Amino acid sequence: MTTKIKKTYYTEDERILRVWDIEDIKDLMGRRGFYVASDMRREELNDLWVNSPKYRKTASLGSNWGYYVGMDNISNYYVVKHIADRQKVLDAYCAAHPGVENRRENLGYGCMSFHPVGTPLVVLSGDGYTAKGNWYVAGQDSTWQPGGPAECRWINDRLAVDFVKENGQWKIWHLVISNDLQIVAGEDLNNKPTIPVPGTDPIENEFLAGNPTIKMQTHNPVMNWSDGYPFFLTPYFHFEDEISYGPEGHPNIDKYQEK
Amino acid sequence: MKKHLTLSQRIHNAEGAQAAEYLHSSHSFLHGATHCWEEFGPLWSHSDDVSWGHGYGRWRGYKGVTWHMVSQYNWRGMSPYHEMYEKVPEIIWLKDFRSLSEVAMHTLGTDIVEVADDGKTARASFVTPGVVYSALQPNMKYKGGALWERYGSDFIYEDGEWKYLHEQVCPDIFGSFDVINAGADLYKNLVNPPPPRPEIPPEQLDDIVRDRRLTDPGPLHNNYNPVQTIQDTCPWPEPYVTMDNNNTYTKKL
Repeated sequence: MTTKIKKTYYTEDERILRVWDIEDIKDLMGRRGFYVASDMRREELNDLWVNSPKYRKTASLGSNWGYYVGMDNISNYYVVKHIADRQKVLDAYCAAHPGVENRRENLGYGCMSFHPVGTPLVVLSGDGYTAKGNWYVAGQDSTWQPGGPAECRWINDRLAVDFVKENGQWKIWHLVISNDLQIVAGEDLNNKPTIPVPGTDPIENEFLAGNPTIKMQTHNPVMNWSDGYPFFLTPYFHFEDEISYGPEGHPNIDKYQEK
Repeated sequence: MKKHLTLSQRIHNAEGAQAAEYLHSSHSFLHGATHCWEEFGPLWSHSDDVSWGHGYGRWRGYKGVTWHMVSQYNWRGMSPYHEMYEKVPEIIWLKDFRSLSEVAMHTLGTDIVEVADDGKTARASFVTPGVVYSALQPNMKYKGGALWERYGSDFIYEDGEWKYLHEQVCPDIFGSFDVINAGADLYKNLVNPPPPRPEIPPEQLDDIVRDRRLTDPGPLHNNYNPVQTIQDTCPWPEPYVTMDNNNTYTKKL
């Protein structure tokens, strides 16, 4: 068990470094929350994600509908597409409000994403080279809508993350943003279909519009957590694909590859 | 900084502080999936000193705690299975039915953790601005609510591992995402009380108390109410030397 943090084969120096590693990782994910709130996605990838060629190739960003694999693909979706989406909102906003200038600094006008992380659960590998973590987000997204106020959604996500140490610094290697719930604030839940009408989920539509590397249903929130993904953390000594939060660790990846 | 402790003791206590957070976060995720045995099997002490309490009372001893938090809670998680199977047969392909009833995700924040100078126990307070939701219910209606609670938790270092020892849950407010306004709703209930629940005959009430097998019947904490004083039923831990009746969330009888 990871609760058995004190292992006889660790020296006291190693033990306090392991304590410090876990604090560094929690700090890293706290920073990510602030980067998201500040819409600093390019900076997030540059500062918080893996940089070395070895890990850039296998880095992944997952959701309920698949994975973007490789930092270039992640960047094209997470940064380039996002900026294009923000530009469309700004174009519409400026058309409705001539006083607002249509320039880069105004991207995100009328929008807010706040995904605070809590419930930190971090497992450091026995060999100390990698770590895994779960967090829970009770957040919200607000996006300005042409002709009206912003549409505000409550967003509940479970974050499942793999970390690797690069040049002495912990970096995000695989990140799954597993959405459990997204409802428009004030929406009458009695009118919300329990099984969503295909093509009407805005988070799904946004994720798929970037053309993910792997399109597959990784988690179906209609079934609560009964589908078992993202799987729960268990202590481990050395990182292997089977326990990855990248696509290679999804229990249905073989079925996807057979297709 | 506890400079009166040796470096080795401080390292041990730093690990204990992280273990307290790890154990409570593990509880939150496993409880969210109704994976009760995965929590109470490996993460809890199995001694007679363990306790789990809620506003309505407390169970003492591993046998009583697991009766309530494993046997009863697992059944509750799976209980909608047969009714839902009639409506959504696809659920037969699910990996685990225990989460069918709902996801009660008690997110954690506002951590306060103290480890005893003797290194044998740790104590922690948390606040949860939690969420409880279920997309698939027998009535085919969506359910989503906010649940705010306070926690008081004690942990023990036992055979080289940190384990859960006591948990005191203090729920304050709960309401549906679409309409929640806890203070106003409760006030309206006071002004215009809803119809009372049918009175339970005394002999049945005795059965309920006996069936619940509570060791310490409550109330130990009351939900928020606009006409009650502020409660401090699970005060945060202060720095302490060793666990005793002044530094615990379950006093010895």
